[in-house]
Amino acid sequence: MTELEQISEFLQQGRAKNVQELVSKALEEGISPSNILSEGLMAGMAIIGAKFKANEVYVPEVLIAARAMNAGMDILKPRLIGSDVKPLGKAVLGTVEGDLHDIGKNLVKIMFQGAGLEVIDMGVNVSAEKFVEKVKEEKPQIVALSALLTTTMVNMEKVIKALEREGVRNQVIIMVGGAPVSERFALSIGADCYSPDAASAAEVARQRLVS
Amino acid sequence: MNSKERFLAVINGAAVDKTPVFPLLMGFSAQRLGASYRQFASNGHVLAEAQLKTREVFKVDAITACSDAFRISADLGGEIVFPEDKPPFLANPLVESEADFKNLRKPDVTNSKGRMADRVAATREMVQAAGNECMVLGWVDMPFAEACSICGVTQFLMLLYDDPEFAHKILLFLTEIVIEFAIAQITAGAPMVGAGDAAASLISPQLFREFALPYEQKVCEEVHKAGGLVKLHICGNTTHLIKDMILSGADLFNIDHLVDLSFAIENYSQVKKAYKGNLNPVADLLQSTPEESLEKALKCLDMAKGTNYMLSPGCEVPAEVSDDVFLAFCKSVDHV
Repeated sequence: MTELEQISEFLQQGRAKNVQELVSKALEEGISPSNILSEGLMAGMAIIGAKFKANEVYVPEVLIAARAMNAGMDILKPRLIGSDVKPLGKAVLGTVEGDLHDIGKNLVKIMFQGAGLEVIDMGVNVSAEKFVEKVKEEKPQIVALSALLTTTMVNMEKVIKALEREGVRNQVIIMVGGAPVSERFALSIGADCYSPDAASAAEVARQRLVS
Repeated sequence: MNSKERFLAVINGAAVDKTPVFPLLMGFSAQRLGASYRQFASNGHVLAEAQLKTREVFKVDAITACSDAFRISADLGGEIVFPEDKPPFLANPLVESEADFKNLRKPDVTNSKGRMADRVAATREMVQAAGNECMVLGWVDMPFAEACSICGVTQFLMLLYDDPEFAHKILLFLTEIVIEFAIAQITAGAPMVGAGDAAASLISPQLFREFALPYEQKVCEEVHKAGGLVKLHICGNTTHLIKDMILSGADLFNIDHLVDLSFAIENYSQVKKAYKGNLNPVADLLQSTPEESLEKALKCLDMAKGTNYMLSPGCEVPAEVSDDVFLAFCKSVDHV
């Protein structure tokens, strides 16, 4: 097994300390930061994402893998600054106003980061106005909205309308998801995409960004 | 047959005059009473009235004293926030370290100022008003769900790997409280308690068998000893857990809409267990016409014919579902 494959393996097992040690060792040995990122860390998260989608691993395994990825990134990040490695795109992500559920949103964040996106996580209970403010400030390609309640999913449309009013709607791809949300609902409120789960969301985001 | 007889007949595998209708109604019932969610969740009398009104208007066969998952958290000393129109929530995790856990004290379920006692009072009121003809359920959340509540879902799920011994300590502690809370509601007259374990759908069968199932089994065992029954309600896709859920010992199983109903029917009918489900609360009720909702309900009834089945959406009925649609859903059993 190569060193990068071992990094991927440790990441999948959630072994954050081992990931950090191996990332440091790989850097010392002159392996490029971008290779460590793509063939070590992101490769490992891609496998976890596929296994999650196939119900071979579940939320706890994804969480500890993500923690291991972040641990590796802590070592790698300073070496990526000024390099040619650029994120695939930028996404602003949040649970809509009135909703405090974050596990789905957190899983999407993990999968987005694993796919190479830069993610601005706005947290939970985020008003339409705050989303608009952040879009103007960060100029993301994607705005991803999460809701777990039927009473709060209606606020997804408020975000879309607020973006329209401020003239920035066409600058972003709006993705929606969460237990009560459906393709039909997404279309009815004018969203661009719906994903039934976090792993699909990352695939959809990647496809939209590279097309 | 009255509703209670019909319900118990399905539990016991006996013949019924028609399929019982047993949706989970929280915000829906509060709204029909004209109460805010805050009133519904913070005042057991309002909760009881809301459930009884729903029973009166829609003739559902069972009502449940359920409003939210933070009764035990509150009585453990957690700060609970009560939004006007949404379920209450715990402001901050109660347990972020072993030191936090050591500071917890088992609450007294009979403390009249507590939220657990408030639910017991609601249960008693519902039983006194309608318990002869209608099935009345109390409610608890199973130890795994409670642990996720007091620690935070993400934090507890990672604890299963980081410190399984500590996770088990937390679960054991909570199990005692859950059992006492359940039995208090049985003693108040509820023949059955609903028991939620929502976060359990997020974990693998292996972790379920280690961290959720043994504690569910203990709760069911003690409720049975006290003369009560248990409905196990795990929201989300539980396809991978169905066989293990049966081992909990629960008497009735809820199936959410993401589970294939025919798969659920195959598993539950093999062991002659009662189950209910599984219309999609949003697609088949909120976003449907009465005719569409009726059609979907009839499809479920047809698939479940001859088994120990109760008609229900997969999870809570949204408050925004219109009366027309909900009535069409409830009356579907009269068409069969």
